[in-house]
Amino acid sequence: MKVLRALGLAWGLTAALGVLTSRRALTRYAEGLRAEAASPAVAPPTAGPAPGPAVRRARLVFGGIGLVVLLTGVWKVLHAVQPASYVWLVVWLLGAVVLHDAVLVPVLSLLRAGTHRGLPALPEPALALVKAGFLVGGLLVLVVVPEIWAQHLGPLNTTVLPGSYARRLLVTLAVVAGLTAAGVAVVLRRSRTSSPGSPPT
Amino acid sequence: MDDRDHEPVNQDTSGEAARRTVATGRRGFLATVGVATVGLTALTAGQSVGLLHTTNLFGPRAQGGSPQQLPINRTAAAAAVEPAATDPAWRLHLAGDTSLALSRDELSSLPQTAVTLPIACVEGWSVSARWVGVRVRDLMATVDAPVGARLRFTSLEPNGVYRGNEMGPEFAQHETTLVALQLNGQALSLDHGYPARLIAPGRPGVLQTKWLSRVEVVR
Repeated sequence: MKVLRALGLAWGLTAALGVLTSRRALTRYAEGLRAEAASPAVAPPTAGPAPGPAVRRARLVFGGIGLVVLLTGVWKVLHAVQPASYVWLVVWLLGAVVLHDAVLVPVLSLLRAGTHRGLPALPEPALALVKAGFLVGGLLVLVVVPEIWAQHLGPLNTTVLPGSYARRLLVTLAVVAGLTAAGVAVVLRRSRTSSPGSPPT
Repeated sequence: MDDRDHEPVNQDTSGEAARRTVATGRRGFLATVGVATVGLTALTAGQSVGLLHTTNLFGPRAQGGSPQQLPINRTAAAAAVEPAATDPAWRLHLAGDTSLALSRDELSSLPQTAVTLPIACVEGWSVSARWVGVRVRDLMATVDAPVGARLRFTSLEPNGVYRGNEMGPEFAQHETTLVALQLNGQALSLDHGYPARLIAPGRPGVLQTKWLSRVEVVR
């Protein structure tokens, strides 16, 4: 299993180098996008002045520290996890990516598409409330669904996961939705009674 | 949590306001994160903070409702200790410069100390309980263990990572470190470590060895 450990270390090294080398390109790409969104007609962004030697040295030092920390982390993980479980480690790491890209993003995209027409018509404080409601509810679901799943699989003994989490989750989500709706109603009434037409702040 | 999108809003009629974005402002973002953090903490922290037990809707453990009001990680069945732990021939073996084997009745007849200490599990839950038993330092004095000795505690468990553990003299000599016989006013139940278990302050739950079989000086 030393081979696996060496492979893991090589993978960590590659990842670290990838992060170090691609960070700059990503930053530049993001800046380009931002500039385009702000003023699409303006000429493409020009590169800033080249960093001085002190800045470059500082970047090298911080980059080096980051690299050492990253490699230490990989080394430690490979020692903490039994080699026989490396497959599960990879499943766990990749699982987060797959869950994010295959489940979370599509669901959020659908939600956004569904609410795209109606929601922006709301005044800004109400919109912020709706977003906050969705965020709080979503986080709650992320925390509680694994518990419901573990309960479904069967806990080790009766003192583990003793609650009726599914029912509590539904009730709490209803409360969050209710509070959000109440907040939105208050904001709407206020914006209607105060100067209509001007954007509320 | 993609709050930084820039979508134009059609609600306003004036030209400049039409370009208003629906991006969440800094205040809105911080307020949302704050509400989410406080809310989730309030709904889960009760599994380790007794004061919050009434709002503990989503913590995987509860303060109350468990046998003897204390959650259990490893049951006697899982540890395969039931025959050995209920055997009348059970003795707690003590080994210092001399050695001694005590039955549960003999342990009960020694001076008893009551302490309130939590089982604080590395999984995240923490529940306080009232323990009664014999001070480890008194027990080890009867077998002439040196005061500065490091002690090893061994369980009846035939296997398992935590069937044994060691503690330094700073724990062994502490007045609240006990070989506990009672929990919350009753004899320890089998799942809580009957006939005797270790309870010490400031150590994770996995090191509060249950179903003790042996306490010895580490040479």
